[in-house]
Amino acid sequence: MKTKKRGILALLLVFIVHLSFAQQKTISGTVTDQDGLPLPGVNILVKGTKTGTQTGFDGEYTIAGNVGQVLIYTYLGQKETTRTIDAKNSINVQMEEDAEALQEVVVTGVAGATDKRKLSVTVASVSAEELKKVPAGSAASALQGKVSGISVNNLGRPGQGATIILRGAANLYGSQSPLVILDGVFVEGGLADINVDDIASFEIVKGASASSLYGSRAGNGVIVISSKRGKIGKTEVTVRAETGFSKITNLVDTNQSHGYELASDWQNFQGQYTKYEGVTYPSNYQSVYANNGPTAVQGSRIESADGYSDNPYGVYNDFQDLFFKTGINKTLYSSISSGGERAKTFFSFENTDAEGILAETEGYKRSSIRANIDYQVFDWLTFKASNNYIRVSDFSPGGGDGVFRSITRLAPDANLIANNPDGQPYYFKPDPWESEIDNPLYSLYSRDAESKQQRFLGGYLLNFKLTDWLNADVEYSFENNTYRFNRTNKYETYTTSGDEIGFGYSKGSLNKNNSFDLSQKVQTTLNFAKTFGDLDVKSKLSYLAEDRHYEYYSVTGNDFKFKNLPSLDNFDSANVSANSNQQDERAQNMFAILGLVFKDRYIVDGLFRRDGSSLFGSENRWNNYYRVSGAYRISEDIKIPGIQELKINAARGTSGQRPGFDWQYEATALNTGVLSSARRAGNPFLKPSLTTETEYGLNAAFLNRFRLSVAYSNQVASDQFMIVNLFSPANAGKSSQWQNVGDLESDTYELSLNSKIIDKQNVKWNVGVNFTKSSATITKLNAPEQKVGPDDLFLIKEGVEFGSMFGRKFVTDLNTMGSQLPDGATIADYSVNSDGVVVETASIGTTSEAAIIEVDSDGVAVNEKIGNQNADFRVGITSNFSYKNFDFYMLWDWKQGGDVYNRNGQWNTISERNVMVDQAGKADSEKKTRVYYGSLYDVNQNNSFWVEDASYVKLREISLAYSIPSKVLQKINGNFFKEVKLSLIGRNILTISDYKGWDPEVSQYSADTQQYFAVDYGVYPNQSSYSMSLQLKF
Amino acid sequence: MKRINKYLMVMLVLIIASCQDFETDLNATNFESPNDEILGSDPVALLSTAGNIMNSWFITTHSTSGPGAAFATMADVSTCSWGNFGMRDLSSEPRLAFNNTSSYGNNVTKSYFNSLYSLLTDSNTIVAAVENGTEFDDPQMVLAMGKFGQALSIGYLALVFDKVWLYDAEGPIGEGDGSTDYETGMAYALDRLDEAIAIADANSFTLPESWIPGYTGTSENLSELMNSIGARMLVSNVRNTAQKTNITWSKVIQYADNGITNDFEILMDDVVWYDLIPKTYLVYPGWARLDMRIVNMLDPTQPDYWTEDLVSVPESTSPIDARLNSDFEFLGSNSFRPERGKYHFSNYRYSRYDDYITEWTINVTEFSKAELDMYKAEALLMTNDVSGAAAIVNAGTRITRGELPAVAENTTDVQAAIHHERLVEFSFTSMGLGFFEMRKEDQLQSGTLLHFPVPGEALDAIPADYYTFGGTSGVAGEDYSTGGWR
Repeated sequence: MKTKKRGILALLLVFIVHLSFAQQKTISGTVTDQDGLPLPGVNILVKGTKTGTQTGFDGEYTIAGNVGQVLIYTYLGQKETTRTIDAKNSINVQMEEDAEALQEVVVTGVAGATDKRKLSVTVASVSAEELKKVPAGSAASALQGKVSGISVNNLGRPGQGATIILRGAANLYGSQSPLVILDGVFVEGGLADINVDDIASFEIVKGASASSLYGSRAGNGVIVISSKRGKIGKTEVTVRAETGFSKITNLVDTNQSHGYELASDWQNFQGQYTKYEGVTYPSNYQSVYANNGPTAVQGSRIESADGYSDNPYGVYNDFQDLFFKTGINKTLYSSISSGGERAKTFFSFENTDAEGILAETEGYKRSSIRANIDYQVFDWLTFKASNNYIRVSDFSPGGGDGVFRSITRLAPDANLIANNPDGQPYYFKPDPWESEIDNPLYSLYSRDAESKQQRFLGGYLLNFKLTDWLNADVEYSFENNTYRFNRTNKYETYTTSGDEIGFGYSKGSLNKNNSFDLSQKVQTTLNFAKTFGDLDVKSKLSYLAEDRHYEYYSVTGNDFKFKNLPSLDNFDSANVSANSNQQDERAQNMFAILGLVFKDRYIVDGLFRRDGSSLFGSENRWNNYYRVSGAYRISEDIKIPGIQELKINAARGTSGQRPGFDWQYEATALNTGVLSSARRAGNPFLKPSLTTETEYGLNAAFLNRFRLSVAYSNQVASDQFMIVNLFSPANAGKSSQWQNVGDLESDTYELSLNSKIIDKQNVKWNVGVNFTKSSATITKLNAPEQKVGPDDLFLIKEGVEFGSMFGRKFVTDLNTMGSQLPDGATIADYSVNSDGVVVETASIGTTSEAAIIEVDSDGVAVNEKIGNQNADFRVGITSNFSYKNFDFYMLWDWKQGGDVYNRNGQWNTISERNVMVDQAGKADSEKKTRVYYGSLYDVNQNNSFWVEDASYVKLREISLAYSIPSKVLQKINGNFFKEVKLSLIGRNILTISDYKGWDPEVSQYSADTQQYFAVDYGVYPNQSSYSMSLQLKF
Repeated sequence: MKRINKYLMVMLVLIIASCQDFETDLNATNFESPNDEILGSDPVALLSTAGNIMNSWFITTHSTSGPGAAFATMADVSTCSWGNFGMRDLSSEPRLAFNNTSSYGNNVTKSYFNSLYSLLTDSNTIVAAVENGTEFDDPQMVLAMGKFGQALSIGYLALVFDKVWLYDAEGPIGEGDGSTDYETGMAYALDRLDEAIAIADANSFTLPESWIPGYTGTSENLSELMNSIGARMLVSNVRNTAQKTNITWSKVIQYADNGITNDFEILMDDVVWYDLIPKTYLVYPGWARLDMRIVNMLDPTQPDYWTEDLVSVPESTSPIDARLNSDFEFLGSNSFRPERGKYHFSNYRYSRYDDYITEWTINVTEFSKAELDMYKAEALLMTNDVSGAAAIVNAGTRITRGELPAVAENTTDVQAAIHHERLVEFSFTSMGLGFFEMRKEDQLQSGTLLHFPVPGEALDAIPADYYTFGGTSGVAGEDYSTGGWR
């Protein structure tokens, strides 16, 4: 009997032991998405261990675990799900869509993370998915064409990025750039160095009502960028390599004929130089210019009696071919992302090299390292760190702004590649008849100017979960930029001088400048989120302090003592000069925001913000901002067939723009020991400009395919800054002062439509269209009118649209001519010629033919609106087509309207290089004289003749990508690679425009207003790029 | 409770730790520019400002934003048809009114106007500071410089504009806002100059070298310089020949007798001292050239005017004035645009200062002894001492450098000889000398403005009505020329 009991006990023991071992079992199952389709690549982790796996292409998985352990299922776009292992051996999971992870949630400018469908203000977002089709060179150009209400103009030189204007212009003076926040850091150094592969999303807050939360920094709108972070699951490595080239596709035509008498034997010298009548040439003449001496020509050219520029040259060279080169671009990016319950990490490394398209000039190189770490320290404490270190080396081209003009100004027989007398390449004065033109290739060759920059952006956030509905953030972020620039002109660098030949050694110079910029931010926020029945309440209370410190110094030495020694010790102390600059900006801001959502359909929000800044005048140190907004989700109350979502919203809010650093001080500028003679009065009453916006919007999702978003915004930017002229004898010699003087009002209409045209298993096609129409008018100006911008082309005057060009005009119709006939002439003497200007009929085709300036009744040239740099409207169209593993993407950008002032074209007319001067090939009856074209030049005054319509249609981005199918990948190296994608990428490859310059997208920086204007002079042209990219994930 | 304490502590620690090197004071100091309180009261700042006076005046009068280049072409001393610096528009033939609107691209008066009033303000501040007893090591030196600055600023405004505003540290001088005409303005300037001369004569000091580099600024030398400037301003201010009788010629003789004995030169450093007009852009290859009128004066076989039919003009083989070969350079071809008027063409450029445009950091002449001699000669002529005038001319550069025959002792010839020296010998030293001479002798081409209107932007800022001179705008003979050498 006892044996039996023992036996049973033993059996029981064995059974129990067996059971306990058997508790470690294998679980299997299928994971599906919210539509029931199998989901491959889902990460499954056993909580508290390192055991994990992934679902296969059919959504199936197996994993080992013990009963009672918890399995965590995570996948991009789906909510994290958990299941406890129990007696069953099979666990099937259907995941739920996670709005937040799908970028359907917005955190910028609102009281808390808000579902896009419940926003009462307009915030646009762009996700990594959209950015990675054609990764832009930098974050600055990434947004072009993808969002309505944004105007992005690319700056051609590599590393310069792009200008971004949100909705309409909000400033007469001062930058139009929006505030950029990257992982909580206020980015002071610009977006051009931020690589796009690191970016998870952009949130773009376009209008003042939405950016109101950012107060006096946000008058131009706000762009918030979040970089990628680690996710729970297996470690994932991404490697992307892209190689390609850039080149100019549109070249500018120039005049290939001249108007001088050729020597009778000129053909004997074809290929060497152009032999003119009346000129004696030295032996071994190289077709270059010398002022005097044995290599100079003697005599003058004789103008052809007919005055036409239709005679051939002896030599034809193509300079644009020499000046522009094909630039190679390379990018290498790699990232590692991993995560567990307690810590998630993301590391990345990027290296970019863009050569640029100018000969003899290196371009832009960047290296970037990122480490983003998220810790769950305790259940109630999280810590997020974002670190980004960027190193940049940039070579700016030589020759200054004039180099682009020079290359199209040279006569075809100029010899750019002859050697200088001492053997240096690129003879300094290459055009035989132009003493003013320096060889642009020499300028590029002799330039040795490199800037090196190091930037560190760090953002650190601690979050304390005080209760379920209340948590607190403490955030510290900073950006540290150091910039070093070094420019060496060697002793032997040529310059115009009194030497016999017209140029000689400049004896060189060395310029070094350094700057240091540290901007810090500390912010504490209390976040409140609680639901009371049908009412969702979200609220924030925050205090923010900012401190920015900037230092700069520059040293220049002139006339080296010893050659080939670029050191500041290598100068006479009398030839060394230095200057420096120091700026400090501090701010203290606080805000409170409250958002209420009732029954998921009635939405109201309001905020109040108070800013104090050291940049405001001492009498106006504190300023307030506010917003109220509301939205109503109609589709929740009224079910309209076919419409899934319909919401209307309205908002009214204010934000501002801070004045510049030294605008308020009653001080006299000091430079190199000398007080300035153009003195500025201070203004302690200077306040920030105020942008008040009223916005109405409509959002709809219909027919299960379309998403529409429409907005209208009326923005009044008042208390605009302007430098106002003072009468110096009455103001102690001070001739100007910064004042708040005017109002700038802009109206913007935006529309965005996204559609899923085809949405099947193997074939998908999405098309997105966005449309923007915006204009800004100066509605009030309490100061005399003023001209700003390059060559004072743009007028600031009450009633004028901002961005209007003003200048002189030629008379183009007979009625106007009738009112300004000279004494003794009648209207019958005049007619409109083939260029559209009125001339004396008898003079057509002769040297007396001349365009006539339109004058007013006093005989003074008129000063009228001759152009408008603003577009009538802009349209961006994106098309995403995928078939099985192929993906074809296009982005078209259409800008209608928007004039460019072609200063290059105008200036080239004076040296008769503009292609219209070329009369060769024209019928004799249609020829016009060089003198006539000289009259069209109008001594480089601003004239409507040179304003061109720069409307364009551009194929901005195009890519064809192929991803190796997962079935094939599984066979490689035991499913080592999760993704292998090969893309062919083109950027800016097609431009359709009537503009006669290199590229219609023209932005020239003007230091007086710190803004960009559409004047084509000294503008590095945009290029077309072609490249191939390979992306691996494992 | 404990938990909340823990949170607060952690928060505090973090905030404090992150606040090192974090400033919160909303009053940020501007360390870049001296503020006006300091500039007006601190002796160190005032001394620096006093040291700036010569540089400020020099750079303003030699700037490309000033009227210097336009004066040279209007006077038919230089010729250029590039539009820069007002050179072409103001010397176009026939002469037109000056475009004084604020939208005009080649304005040449606004910076000049504002800069000289800044200089006047600085000078007033310095004078007031000394008179109020501010502590200086050498208050008389500072006072002399301050008064000199007042004289230079008002004087050079009166030479150029039709209206001048007089004010000192107390406020406007005279009626209303202090605006007055150029004659009263110049009289005020010369009074201040006389006071400065008196102080320099009565005291002994030496200016720090940085105030006028390359110059031994003893009070004796400074007095000589100031006297010379007095002669120049007194003689040059008249707008036409009729006004010459208003000049107190005995005062001119007194200034000249106490004036410089050698050329007054300043050492350029190409950083804060540089001479753009006339010594750079009126002589640089590819820029302005010598007007044919002067070429003809140096060699009468050369044309005095480049007519439309002329293709090229050969080099001079037998100039009557040796300086054509020493100071000027022949150019075989023209680079100006023919459709802008061939009357701008020329076959010579000024090459005497080619060292400057090669070296840049050498001495340049601002006031040559020859110029002072000519003031004395003219004053003697105008006070009926013809032989005295001829003697000075014959002892000067006409003979030593020009190798011309001695001038005969009659008024016409001596007058012509003085005129010749002024245009040939030193019109490329300081601003406007050729223009002042042509203006005084009614030789400016008909329609040339005789002085500039107050700049349009300043008129807008007052605000006041627009007006201009030149062409047929203004009063004939007083605001624009009715005479002309051709």
